[in-house]
Amino acid sequence: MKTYPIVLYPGYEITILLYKDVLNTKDIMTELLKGQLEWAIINCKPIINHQQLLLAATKAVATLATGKLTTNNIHTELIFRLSPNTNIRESLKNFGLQNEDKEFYIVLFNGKQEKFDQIKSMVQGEQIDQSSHSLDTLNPFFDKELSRKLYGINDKELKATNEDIDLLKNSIFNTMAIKGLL
Amino acid sequence: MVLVMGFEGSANKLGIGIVGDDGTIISNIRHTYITPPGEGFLPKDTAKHHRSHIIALVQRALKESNLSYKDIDCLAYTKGPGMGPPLRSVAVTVRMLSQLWNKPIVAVNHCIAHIEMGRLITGAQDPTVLYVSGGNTQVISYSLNKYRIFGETIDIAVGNCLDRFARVIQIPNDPSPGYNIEQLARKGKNLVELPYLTKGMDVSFSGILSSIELLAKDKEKMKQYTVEDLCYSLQETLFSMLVETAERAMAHCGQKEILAVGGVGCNERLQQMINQMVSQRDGKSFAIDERYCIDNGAMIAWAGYLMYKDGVTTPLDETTTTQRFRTDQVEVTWRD
Amino acid sequence: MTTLATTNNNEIKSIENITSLPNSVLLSQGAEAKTYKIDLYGIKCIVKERFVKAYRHPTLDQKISGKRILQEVRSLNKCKKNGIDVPALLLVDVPSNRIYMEYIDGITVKQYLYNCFDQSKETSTTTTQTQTEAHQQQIDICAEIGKQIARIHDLNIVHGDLTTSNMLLRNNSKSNIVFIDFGLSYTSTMTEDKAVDMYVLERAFISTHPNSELLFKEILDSYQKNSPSPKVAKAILDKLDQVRLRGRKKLAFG
Repeated sequence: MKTYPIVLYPGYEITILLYKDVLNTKDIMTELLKGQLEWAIINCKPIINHQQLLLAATKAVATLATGKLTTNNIHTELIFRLSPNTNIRESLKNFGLQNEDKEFYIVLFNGKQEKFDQIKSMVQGEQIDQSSHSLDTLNPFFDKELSRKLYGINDKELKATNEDIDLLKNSIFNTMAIKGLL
Repeated sequence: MVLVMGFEGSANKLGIGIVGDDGTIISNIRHTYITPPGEGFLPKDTAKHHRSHIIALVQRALKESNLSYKDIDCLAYTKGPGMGPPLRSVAVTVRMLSQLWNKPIVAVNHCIAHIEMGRLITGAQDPTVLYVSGGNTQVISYSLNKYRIFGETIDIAVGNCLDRFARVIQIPNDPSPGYNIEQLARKGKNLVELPYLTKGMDVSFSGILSSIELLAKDKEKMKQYTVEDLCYSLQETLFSMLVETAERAMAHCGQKEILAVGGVGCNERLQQMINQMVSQRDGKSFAIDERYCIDNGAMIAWAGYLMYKDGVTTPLDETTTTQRFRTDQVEVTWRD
Repeated sequence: MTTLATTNNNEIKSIENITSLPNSVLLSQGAEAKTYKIDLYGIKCIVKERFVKAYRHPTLDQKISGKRILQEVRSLNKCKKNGIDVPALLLVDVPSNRIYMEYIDGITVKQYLYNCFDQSKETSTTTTQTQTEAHQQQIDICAEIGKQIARIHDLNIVHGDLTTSNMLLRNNSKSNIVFIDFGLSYTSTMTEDKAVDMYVLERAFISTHPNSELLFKEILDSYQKNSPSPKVAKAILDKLDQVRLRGRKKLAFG
């Protein structure tokens, strides 16, 4: 579990939890679809590190601040902002939770103990200790090929410099930032 | 004291000035060829105007400054850029006077004269120069013995754009079309959307002119706008582009001063915008009034003096004129 | 508080003033924008904030700022997608006229050329060999400039403000030019526009770097030689000759 302040919006923070070997994803999905959950559940495979989640969270809070949420709430907005796609359904499918997922991130905005307790009782799986993770620690479940596919990052783009992972990271952030502006 | 008499006639203003070596302006008189509303000045007619008034103007200049031609040390004239026939008619007079009075001649670049006059009057040290007139639109900066052009119009000059619009809406050319547009613009309220075209340091005005011409002639659309609105919008758009470009040149060259010269330079709205720009970036602006901003003889005399004191004179057989004479062609010997 | 979505939106305040962020450093105030360096989640970040121009009519100002910020991020993105090294975007905030992007570690090409120039001048302390090396370094960098601009133009992007201050060397490596400040860029397929882009560079280059005509020629040679479409590049350079002349020809009277 890791908590970070949202840099440009004082008073806002997110808490990131990472789970693996989850057994009851289907039940969680059911809860999720009821729209009852007060956190976002995120497909962790296309997420390179915490920075990526924070950038999307910042954008989500920004849209909330201007009253221009594209989706129903801040949690779906976070998932939507991770996606390069402007189609909400597609975005939730690619970056939200799917039935077969055994690993995922849970992100809470201004999380309280009571919510952490709720999450703990809801998820039957192992929470990964992220206490030693820094902002740019590579997510152990990061799937480079999937990420490149989802963000449409071709070979041409990655050739510009040689520092492979940094370049990919930049390309992911860049693609998220340009969303909706093309 | 060294005295230089300057002759300017590159466009529709005929000017004679007498300037001393300490920068004193002893005389600076002008006679402007004014055409009826809706008409521009043609080269042939302008030359005729200059020919008919130049002798009287020279006599008046000497008389009102209590000088004899013997007191004059040197004659300076505009070699270019400008309209061919008016330039030639003034040059011919200068050649005649030079032989009659036995005085040396210095051929002067008109743009350089504007800049040096601006520096003389305002005391600006090393300004970015915004040179805006009926024939020129340039952003200039001094470096390595040249006045270098950082940006300019890629089609028509800003003054030309204003003059031609004045003809479209049939407003008087007296005292100048630009002045009358300025007065109307003060009463404008609504901003009409016009093209805004800057490319790097360069600007383009012809698209704006055609766009506003179309609008002015569109009776249906003109129910929403007044002529005053059009003048206002035209000025706002043109001047924003100029100030933006000038600011970029200042930033690029690290200069803190800006000096506006040329006929459009005395437009008060433009001066106000320049002031607002420099106050945002902790700079200083210099402006000069219509006596020295608009083409005049004193500026030619002063630029002529700067060259003359460095030993430059133009032999009689080289006292030609040229319609094209770039600001950056002149070797500046009088500045560090 | 149940969820943030149900809280009053008006309560959310963003930081209006970048300088109120901890450790923000004002890097420069250009003609268009102020740039700050901040730490954004451990990423070295440049914030480019276009400021409101007091001299410009508010409606006009807003229109221009909005248009330029979009042009800028689109051009950056297009370059990046095509393997031209530009800063990565991190966040784009159109309403507050801010672009957050990757901070590039490295000196400007302008500084690099000055350094080479100084090296080649210090005759008393340096050998002829280092002078030749310094000269070769200048040639190399100009070749790289020409090549990269040709690639940008091939994407139909006109930079609009090509100067040696708008090119950085990532990690100070001369083979890695990063183009910055696409604030005046636009999309165009016209030879004319690309030629004017080169003309802007030429004037800025020659007036910034003394005796640089030969170096600029290297840029042009490389521009044509290394262009993905050499024929088009040739046409652009032919047009450049016309543009240069036109600058002179267009000068009339006044």
